[in-house]
Amino acid sequence: MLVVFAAALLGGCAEPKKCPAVFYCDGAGWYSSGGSVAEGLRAAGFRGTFCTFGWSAMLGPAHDHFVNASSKGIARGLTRKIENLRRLDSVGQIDVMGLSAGTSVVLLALEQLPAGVEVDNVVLFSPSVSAEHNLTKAMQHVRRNLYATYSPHDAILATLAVNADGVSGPPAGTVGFRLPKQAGGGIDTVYQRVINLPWEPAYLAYDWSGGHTSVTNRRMVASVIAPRVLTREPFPLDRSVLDRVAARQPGDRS
Amino acid sequence: MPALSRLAVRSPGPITLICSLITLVGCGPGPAYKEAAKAEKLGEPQIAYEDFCQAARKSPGSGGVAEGIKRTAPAAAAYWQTQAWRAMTELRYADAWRLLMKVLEIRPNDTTTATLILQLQAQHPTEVAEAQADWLRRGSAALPRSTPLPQVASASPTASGPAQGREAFAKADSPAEMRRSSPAPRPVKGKRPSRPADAKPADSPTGPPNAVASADTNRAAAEAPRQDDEDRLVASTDGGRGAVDRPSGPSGAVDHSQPAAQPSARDSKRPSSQTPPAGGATVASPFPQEAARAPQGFLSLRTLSKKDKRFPKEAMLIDGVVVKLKGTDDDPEADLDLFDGKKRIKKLRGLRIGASQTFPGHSGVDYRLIVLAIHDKTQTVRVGVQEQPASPATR
Repeated sequence: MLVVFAAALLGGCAEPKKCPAVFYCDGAGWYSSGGSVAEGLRAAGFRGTFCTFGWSAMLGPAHDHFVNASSKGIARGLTRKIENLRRLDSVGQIDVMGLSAGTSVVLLALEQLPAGVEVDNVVLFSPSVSAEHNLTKAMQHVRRNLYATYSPHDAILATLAVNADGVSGPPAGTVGFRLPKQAGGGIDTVYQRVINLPWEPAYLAYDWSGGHTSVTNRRMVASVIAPRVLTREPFPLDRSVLDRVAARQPGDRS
Repeated sequence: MPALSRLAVRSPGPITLICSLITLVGCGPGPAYKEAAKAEKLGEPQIAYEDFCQAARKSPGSGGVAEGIKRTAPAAAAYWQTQAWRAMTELRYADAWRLLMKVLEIRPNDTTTATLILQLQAQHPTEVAEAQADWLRRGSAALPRSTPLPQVASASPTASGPAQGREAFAKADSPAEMRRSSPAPRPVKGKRPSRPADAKPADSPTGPPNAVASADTNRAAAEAPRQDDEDRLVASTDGGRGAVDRPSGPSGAVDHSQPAAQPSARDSKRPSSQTPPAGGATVASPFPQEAARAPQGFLSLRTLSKKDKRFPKEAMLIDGVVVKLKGTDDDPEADLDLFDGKKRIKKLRGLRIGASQTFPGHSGVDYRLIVLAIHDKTQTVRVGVQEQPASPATR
């Protein structure tokens, strides 16, 4: 029984054959958030395939965070799954989501996609990658938006010594993504589609109290995330990283 | 060991007691929570919601705060939605945009509101541009708290047109205002001048709009009951057309092209025994004239009521179609029937505020009926009609 469970976690779901589909990477040592994310999406009308990509070594959260989350080899497994599905359906909706260190796997997988292969939306719940992680390469494979939830009340990320991607700086899950210091060309177009979703008191109504994993609860996903990703219309409440930067003092790139 | 676990289950341990004490005495969510509870008790969910949110910033983990937000969010959203409809029908598109954003902030999964915001942006880009830019600069801080704006704007439409309404909004949104720990419409601590002395909290399911924002609190307090009575009716029954939409004409037809001729809410003498226009539906303006006179965005607006005798139970809606109010419930939801002559063409049940349904007119043209406001206590419903150019689709 245990072996079957472990195999399921390691291997993830069967490869989806048609769109729409969501690929999900759970957090380090946290193997149960996929269910509530899937439930939330389905409650909001998602009728596609929800595929949890197993990337854990099952050796505990520390090993997952420090080793597996930054492994290009492991992330390549997700890259291949996306590639295969895109080959079957070049226009259908594919979204990729991840929690905590799983967000590092998501970004690594996107960065390894061949040119021209794109997903639609990316949702990073409480990302434990650096806030200054350069998203340019990953965003070349994202048609629409990348959403990242963050909360200053995230107690787990507050004590994090090293980010899952190995990049220094505060984790994006506590402050949101920022424009990288080493900004290359075209950064404006990239970060115009990167949208931080900071914790707001209003989210208490959807059971997210600002905690690290509670952001993936069913109600939060159904009410706050799904309306953004299950439609092709722009979502009125979205403010990109660039919009937020523009609101600050000139020269402040935080 | 089993005995120990039984003990732990049966009696509160010292840690539980300490936690309870801390919750009760020391580390509670603070004064904002008390204010919220007070506002909620007084039937002002929009204020209570803001205060609960304020408390949540201090204590995001407080179960009481979270429950308070959950409890008040639906009514607060309904309140702001009503204000948004009012702003829209008064052609204050920037205000409407901000108010709808507020609704969406509370209810992000409200697809109708999201669609309306996008429609506003597409149809009135210049009017909402400033509000949009403000939003992009400041995010949710650009949204109204429990501001007195809609009442300020609608209370004196002759003096304060849309421009002044916006000024009022800007004032209410100023950083100083936003920093206030309690929402704007509280000129006197502990007093709520917008509430009539004899009003029970349950009388105002969506919460009476806080009409008084003047520095002259004494005068405001003196006039408050009448103002509140007016505003509660306006806000809860006619979905935002405010004092300008008293049933002065058949079926409440309004000429928004002549705002200067409209009485203010404060000045208008609302006859308590006013009867519905004779014939109700039959005296409604013919469609072409009505279309020309109705506010932009709506071909026709109707207020129907089962208990408020000032409004008819049924009325000519548009293009030979009559709308009949069957009833409301406290969700609030409205039940309506649409008739083309004697034939019932639509049976609409459980429509919430913002819900819409398409229906064919007598000529074959399709229209969309939208529920703008519901006041269950008086069983009053306000509906608007828009053109439905695309193929009929039920939302």
